[in-house]
Amino acid sequence: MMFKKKYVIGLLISLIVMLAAVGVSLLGPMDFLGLDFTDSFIIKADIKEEFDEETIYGVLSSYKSRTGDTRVEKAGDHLDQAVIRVQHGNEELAKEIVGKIAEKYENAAYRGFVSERNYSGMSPLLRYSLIVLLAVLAVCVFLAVRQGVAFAAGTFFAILFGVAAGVCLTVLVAVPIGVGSYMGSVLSAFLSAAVLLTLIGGKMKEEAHKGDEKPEEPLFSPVMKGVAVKGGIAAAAALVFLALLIIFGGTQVKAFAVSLAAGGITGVFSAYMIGAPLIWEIMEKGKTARLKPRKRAKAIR
Amino acid sequence: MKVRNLIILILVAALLFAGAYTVFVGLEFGYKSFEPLRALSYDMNLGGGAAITYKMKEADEASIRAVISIMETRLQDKGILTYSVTREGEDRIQVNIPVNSTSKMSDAAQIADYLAETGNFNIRNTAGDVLIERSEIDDVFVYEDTLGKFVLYVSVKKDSIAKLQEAALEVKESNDPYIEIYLDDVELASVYVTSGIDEGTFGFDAGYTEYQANEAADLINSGMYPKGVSVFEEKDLGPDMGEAGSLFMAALGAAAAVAALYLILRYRVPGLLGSLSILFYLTLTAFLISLMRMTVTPWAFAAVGAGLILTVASQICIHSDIRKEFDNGKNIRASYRSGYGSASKTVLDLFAVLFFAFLVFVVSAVENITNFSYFLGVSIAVSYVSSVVVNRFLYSLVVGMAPEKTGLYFAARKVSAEGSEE
Repeated sequence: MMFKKKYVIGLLISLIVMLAAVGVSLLGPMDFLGLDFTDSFIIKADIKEEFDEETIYGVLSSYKSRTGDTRVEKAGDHLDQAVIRVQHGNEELAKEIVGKIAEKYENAAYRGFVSERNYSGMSPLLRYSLIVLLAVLAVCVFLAVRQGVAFAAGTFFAILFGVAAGVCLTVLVAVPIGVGSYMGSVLSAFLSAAVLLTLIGGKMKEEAHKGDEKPEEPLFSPVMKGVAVKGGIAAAAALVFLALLIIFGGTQVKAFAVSLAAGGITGVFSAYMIGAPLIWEIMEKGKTARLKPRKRAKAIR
Repeated sequence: MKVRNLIILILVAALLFAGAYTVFVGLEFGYKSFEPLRALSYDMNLGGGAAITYKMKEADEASIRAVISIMETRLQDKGILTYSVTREGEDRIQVNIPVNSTSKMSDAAQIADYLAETGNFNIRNTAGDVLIERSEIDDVFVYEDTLGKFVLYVSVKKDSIAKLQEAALEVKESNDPYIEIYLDDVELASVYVTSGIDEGTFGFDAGYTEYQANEAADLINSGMYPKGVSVFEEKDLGPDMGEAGSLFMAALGAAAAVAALYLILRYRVPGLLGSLSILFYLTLTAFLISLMRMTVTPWAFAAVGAGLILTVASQICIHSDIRKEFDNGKNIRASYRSGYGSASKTVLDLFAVLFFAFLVFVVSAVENITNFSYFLGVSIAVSYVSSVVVNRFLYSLVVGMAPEKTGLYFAARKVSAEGSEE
C-alpha cells in the first residue's frame, strides 16, 4: 500500500471538522463561545420548593436559539431559588421563561433580571492556549532529544491538529466553548496524542534498532497494530469513565465529559493519521536525523 | 524460597485490599472513625458554595474594575483559587466562593466581611492629621519578635521615605510623641516615637495573633478600594454540576475495573499483578488527595483519570513485552528480565512526556490549570510507583516462585501472517 502523503488524509479530515465547526457556529443558533467568555444576563426566580436543575435546563432547551449558552444554579438558604445565566435575553424573555418554569413548579415566581459583565473576556482562552502550547513544545523538545527531530516534528503537528480539531468537534456536538469544555478538549487531545505518539515513537525506534534501513511504515502495519491494541485498551478504560459521566451526569457533567471525549478522539486520530505518517515521511526522506547516531551505531553493532 | 515468596505475595495482596477498604469505605473504632474520603473538599462545581453580593457606593466602570481586581487578589491570598467575581447590574459585585460542608473554610460570613474592608491604611499624628497614606505604602510584612509577638512591619515607597523620616522627627520632638496607625478608620496601634526612622521601614504591635497579623498584611498589600463596598446579600449556592463527586469516583472505579478485567483475561497471573498495581494506584492517590486536603474539582478527576490511563498503558507495555519474550520460547524468568528491560524504556518515556507537561502547567499557575496540574503531578508520581516499583516487586515474587505451568502466565494467542500480536 502506498503510504506517501498519508498524513494529508488526516489533515484533510481534521480541516473538514474545523470548517464544519466554524460553519455551524456562524450559521447555527448556538454561539461559538459560551458564558465563560462573554457578558451575560441573570434571571432570578423563586421556586419556593426543592427543584431539579435538569427540569430547568429542559425548559431552557426550547429557548436555546434566543438565550444562547445557559447555566442553572440553585441558591438561597434552602436552595429553593434558581439563578439562571443566559447569554442573550431581556426582561420580557426572562418573565416568559419563569412562566414556563411555573408550569413545572407552580409556586415559581419571577424575582429579577440583571446584566452580568465578564471583564476577563477572551483573555483566559488566550492564556490557556499559550500554556498548552508551551507544554506541547516542552514535550516535543524532550522527544527530539530522546527519539529524534522527526518524532518531535510529527508529534508537534499531530498535537496541534488534534487540539484544534478537538475544540471544533466539541462545538459540533453542541457544547458551547466555556473554560471547562475548551480546556477539557484541549488537554484531552494533547495528552492522548502525546502518550500515543510516545508509544508509536518507541516502537518505530525499536524496529529501526533491529537494523532495518527504515522502520515499518505506520498505519495498518503489524507494529502499529500492536500499538493500537495497547492504546486501544487504555482508550477503552477512558471511554468507560466518560460514558458513565455522559449517561448518568447532569447537563454540566455531560458537557465536560463530551469535551474530554471529543479531545481524546481527535488526539488519538491525529496521532495515528497525522503524527505517525508524518514521522515516517520525514524519516523516509531523510531530511531529519532519524535516530540519535550513537544509539543507531550501537544498535547496528 | 517459593513458599516465602507465596506468603509475601499473599500478605502484600491482603494489605492492598485492606488499604483500599480503609480508604474507600473507612474504619470505625468505637467512637473514633477513619474515613479518608470524608476529608475530600469539593469546589463550587461539585460542592457548591456561598454567593455574596456587594453594593458599591457611587459606582463607575473604573472603580468597579479596580475593586474586582483587589477582591480577586484577596481571595487568592486566602488560598481560594476556584472563585468567580463578576459585575452584576450597575453597582453590584457578585462573589462566588467554594465555602461548603466539605471545604477547609466554613465561615463564609468572615470572608464576606474581609472582602468588604476598604483597606484604607494610614498613619496619623495624635491630632488626626494623615502623615502617610495607603498610596505611599510599599509593603507590609509580618515578623515574629523575640517575645513571640507578631509585629507588622511597614515599608514605604522610595519617594516617601524622606516624608516619613521628617514626620517621625516632627512627632518625636512634639509634646505628644505618638503616631497612630489606622485601618479603615479603626486604630490598630499607637506607637511611641523614641527615635527617628533611618530607613523607610518601621514596625508596630497591634496585639495580633499570627493569623490576624497575616490577614491584616494581606489586606493592606492587596490595595485599597477606590470606593467603599458593603455586603448587600449573602446566600448559599448549589453545586453547578450537582453532587457529582461520587459519580466521578464511581466512573473512575468502573474504568479501572474494566482495565483490570482485561489484564487478567489477557495476561492471567501477570495481569492479576497489574490489576493489583491499578488498585494500589487508586488507593494511594485517593489517600494522598484526602491527606493533602487538595480542593477536588472536575479537573482533579480528569487528572486522576489521566494517571489511571497511564498506569494501564504502562501495564500493557510491560506485559506485552514480557509476553513477546515468553512466546519466543524463553521461560518466565528470562522473559521477565528481558521483557521488563525493553518495556521500561517506553514506560519511562511515557512518564517523562507527562512529567514535562506537568512542569509547564505548574509553572504557569493559572486557575483551573493549576488545580489540574497538582492532581496530575500526584497521579503521575503514584502511577510511576504503581507501574514500576509495586508491579516490579510483585512480578519478582511470582518469578521467584516460577511455577512451570505456562497457562498461568498468558492466554493462548493467535499469531497473524505478519507476526503481529492479535
